Amino acid sequence: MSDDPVGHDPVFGHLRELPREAASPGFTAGVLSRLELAAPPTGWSRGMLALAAALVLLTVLGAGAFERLRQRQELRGEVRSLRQEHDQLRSELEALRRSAATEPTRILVGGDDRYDYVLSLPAQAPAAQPAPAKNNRIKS
Amino acid sequence: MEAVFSATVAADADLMARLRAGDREALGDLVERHKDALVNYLTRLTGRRERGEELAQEAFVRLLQAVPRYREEGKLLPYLYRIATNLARSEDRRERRFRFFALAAVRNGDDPVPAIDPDGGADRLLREETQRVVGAALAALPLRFRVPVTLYAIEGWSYEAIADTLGTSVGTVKSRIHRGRERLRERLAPYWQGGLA
Repeated sequence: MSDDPVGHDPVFGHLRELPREAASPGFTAGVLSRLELAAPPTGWSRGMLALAAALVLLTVLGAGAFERLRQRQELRGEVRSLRQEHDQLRSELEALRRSAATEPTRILVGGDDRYDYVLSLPAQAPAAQPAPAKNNRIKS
Repeated sequence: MEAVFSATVAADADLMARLRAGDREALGDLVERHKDALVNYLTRLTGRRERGEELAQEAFVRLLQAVPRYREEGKLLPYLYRIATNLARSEDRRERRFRFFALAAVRNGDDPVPAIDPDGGADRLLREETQRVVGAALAALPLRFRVPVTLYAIEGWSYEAIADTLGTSVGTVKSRIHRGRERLRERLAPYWQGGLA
């Protein structure tokens, strides 16, 4: 510092001449009593608070993600069962169409204990004129 | 100054090692070792002795609370003065917020004119008045200049040690000291011309 021209500045000379303040006689005791009175380092509680907040946040985010996953799986299951039902209905419809094409249609119109009266329609109606319906008596 | 620093570093490292080992006596030894310089530094920063002493006590308390986290790198003094400077900064911010009240307090007698001592000579009166004016001019500097000027001109620290404490470059420290000195010179010019110097 002695080689530094700034150090020899008269303004700094006046600053150096300012009387030096010393600590009062009870200074050290004051520090120690302040230290005793001071709350335990807040770093610990701040750290715990941050950890608790992080855990709560993780739990909320985790629960949200789990719920979304669960909903998605439920929707997938519903879609799967709807598709199965759709396939089944389609196959049933095709079977009905097939049977309608090969077998005559019989419509139960009445009967008694011994006979059923059915109206029998031809499997494939002629293009020109429909075949006349005939009454059949089938023994039950 | 460097020799003083290296001797201080070794002794401080020893004290901190004792503190970490649970030696309660080391607490008092550490405070005793640095209290006067720290009180002087903070008195010059705050412009008030009582406040300087209070902040110095608080700085020691914070340092001692940080002992478990302290890593020995031979920089206890810069660490302590950084704590102290930060406390002074907070104080400065608070005071600026309540500048009106602070000014009122000064007018009400915080900055008394020295009484005439019948046994003291004119030289003593002149010296005391100069010290009062210079101290007030320093206290009126913005803190970014006040801190490096105080550490350099009053505490006799090197540019490097100041830069280490303030966490800035040596160039910035030099620039702030230079600008601080210019501001002090401008502020004190009327007094020099009036014959106080």
